[in-house]
Amino acid sequence: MTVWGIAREEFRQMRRGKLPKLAILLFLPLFFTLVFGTAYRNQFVRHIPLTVFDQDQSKVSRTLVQGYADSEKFTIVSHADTQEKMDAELESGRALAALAIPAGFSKDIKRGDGGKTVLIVNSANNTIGNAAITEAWKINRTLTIGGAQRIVERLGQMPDEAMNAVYPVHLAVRLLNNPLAGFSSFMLSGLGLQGVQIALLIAAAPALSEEYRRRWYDGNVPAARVLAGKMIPYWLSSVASYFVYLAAAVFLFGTPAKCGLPELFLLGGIFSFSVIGVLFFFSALCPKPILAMQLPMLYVMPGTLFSGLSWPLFSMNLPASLYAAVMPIRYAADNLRDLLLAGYAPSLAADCRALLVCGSIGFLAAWAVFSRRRKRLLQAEGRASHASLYCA
Amino acid sequence: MRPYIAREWRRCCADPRRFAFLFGAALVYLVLFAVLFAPNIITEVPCVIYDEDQSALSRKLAQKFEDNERFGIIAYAATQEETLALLREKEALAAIVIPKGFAKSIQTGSYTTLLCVANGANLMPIGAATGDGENIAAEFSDEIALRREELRTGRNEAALGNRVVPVRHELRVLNNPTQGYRYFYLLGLLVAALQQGIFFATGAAVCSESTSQEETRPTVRLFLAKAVFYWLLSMAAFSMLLLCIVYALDIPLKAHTGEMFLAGGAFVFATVSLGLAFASFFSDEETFARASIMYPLLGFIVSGYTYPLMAMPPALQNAARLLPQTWFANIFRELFLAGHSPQAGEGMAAMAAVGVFCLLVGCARFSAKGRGSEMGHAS
Repeated sequence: MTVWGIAREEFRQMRRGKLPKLAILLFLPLFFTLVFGTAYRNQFVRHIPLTVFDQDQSKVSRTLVQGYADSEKFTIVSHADTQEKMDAELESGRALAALAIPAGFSKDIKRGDGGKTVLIVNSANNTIGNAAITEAWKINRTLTIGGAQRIVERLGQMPDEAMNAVYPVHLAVRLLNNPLAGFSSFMLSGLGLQGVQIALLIAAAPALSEEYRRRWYDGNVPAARVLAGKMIPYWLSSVASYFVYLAAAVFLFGTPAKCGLPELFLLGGIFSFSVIGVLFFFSALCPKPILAMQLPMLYVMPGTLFSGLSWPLFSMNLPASLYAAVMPIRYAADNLRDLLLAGYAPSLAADCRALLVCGSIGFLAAWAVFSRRRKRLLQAEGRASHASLYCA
Repeated sequence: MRPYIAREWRRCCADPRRFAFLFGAALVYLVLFAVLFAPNIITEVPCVIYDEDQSALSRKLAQKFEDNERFGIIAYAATQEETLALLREKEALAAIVIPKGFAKSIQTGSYTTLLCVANGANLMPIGAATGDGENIAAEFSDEIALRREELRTGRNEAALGNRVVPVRHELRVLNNPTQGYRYFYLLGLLVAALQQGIFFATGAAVCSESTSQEETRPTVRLFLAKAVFYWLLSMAAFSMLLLCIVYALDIPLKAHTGEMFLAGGAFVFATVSLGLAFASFFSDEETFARASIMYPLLGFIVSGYTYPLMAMPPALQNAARLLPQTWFANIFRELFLAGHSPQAGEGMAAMAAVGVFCLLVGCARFSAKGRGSEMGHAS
């Protein structure tokens, strides 16, 4: 049987069953992209519920409160009139942040004693905590500078001079590649790639262990040919699936695609090759198809967090870096995001080489284990049939 | 019921994978993610400084960035091209550009603008770095403003401090004061791992009945016995996980242990019921495993554990509320970090409702399978 014959047979097998492997491979990453793209549709956290405890009730305090009311990041859900009520709002979860302005706030500023406000943020969820702190910092800074300018103006300076006097150093922040700091651009491409990996885990991981059980190909077909034949349909389907989910991310959810198709194909093709290689190794090791799906979960599932997609690679300690180093997604997720958002990926060539090495080692190891096991199984089968013939 | 539970124990011992799923999955995740998030916060974000001014003042500002642990200054660029090249090659993720005439503008009473250029592709390190960068720049600006006013008015710093910075804003961060990622991520990931372990174990328990050589017929009683048995076993796994979190990871449980066990019990009940009911729709374990592997990532993201539920569209929020993980992952984190969870009551009721519904569906489906096989035998 030729490689193409095996590939055709494997492709036929992929279309069979209640939950066909081919459907999973083609549609799971797309489904993930649709769900996660919808989840991240608003791009960032808005309307953080805020309670205001304004003991001062002055023009200045109302200006500050108005700053929070005008910000789309906050929604004022209540005005507490005692500290107990403010604490209760936070404890009940109705508010996730509280702004407390003490009595005499405006008088203290006018007297030159300095006013003080307190912002309390529930940061059990860091995404909310970070968004609230960052936005509050900007609102507070604006009020502080405005207040300082007025004070200095009263001391006899012109408005512009007063502004320069109290705010001599400005900071302009320019975000490259993701100017809106949107979650969709940040996460969607990488989560889709994890979807491809999970789809391959479900579809390709049992491929060799199924062969131990069903033995579709006899001993005359070399193990390497079986591996190559089985690999082809999974590789083709996963690359197709990769482009389908990328198209959805780009056309439905506005993820930029600044690079060309050849680079995307290079990365997707080598990534799929590498993941299949590693999964085939697991498959060759496992005597049962179900185990071949379950065992690599410990390796595939943490991939999103070990990939450097969110928790950066430079913050990983040595054991974490070593574990990440044997994961194909570590070499692909960040590069894919760079290709899409920046139009280039500085470590694309080096990481593609790493993926090739990773995949090749996976295939070689899979071939070594598979050919040995298969031989042993065929020998045992041969002995059994010989014995039964002898008995007969 | 007891003979059925004893039978379940024997079957579990004969298939030790089920113990491995229940007790092992969360433990492996605990080790992996404890190692990953050991640094807790992001420091040493690679940064380049392009100081066009090369004055004493600009060097002082650069020193402030050097002294901040959030930034790891990897180079001082000599040209704009070099700065951009370092950003382009991702050797640096942020660049601080101090413009020419920086010191002169300040000395002549004008203002100057620093530029922070950052690669926003990965928001996690860049969010932290730009926040700290803004703080450094603001403090530096206030220092200079104070000194200038001192020179202009002849008053001392103490008298002028509140004029230059008339409002001080204090920040109190509740529940995760350092905003560490260990507390933020780890607890929810362990819940996800426990859930997957329960799914695999219950899936094996239900699907193995169709290939079983034993005489026992799938009945409602057998299904309920499975639910009780796996609830007890999962609660043991949950207890072990709690002990590991408290004693091995050193994350204190601020809530009352009873409250945690009540919420955990509701979650385990909902998950066991969901796993058993879902598995009853599959004739073999392999197909069930295929279907259930698709769930963990999906469940984790839509649970609102990282990107909050309130920022998602309402339809997705409502769909997510049908999943036990959505309730429990957040309750679990709040009970650990805050000592209470405002949504605990509602969450437990929702999980109990999901559990009862799944149990009913599972019973109906499982016993129907039994009747089907009986009719098959009879014919």
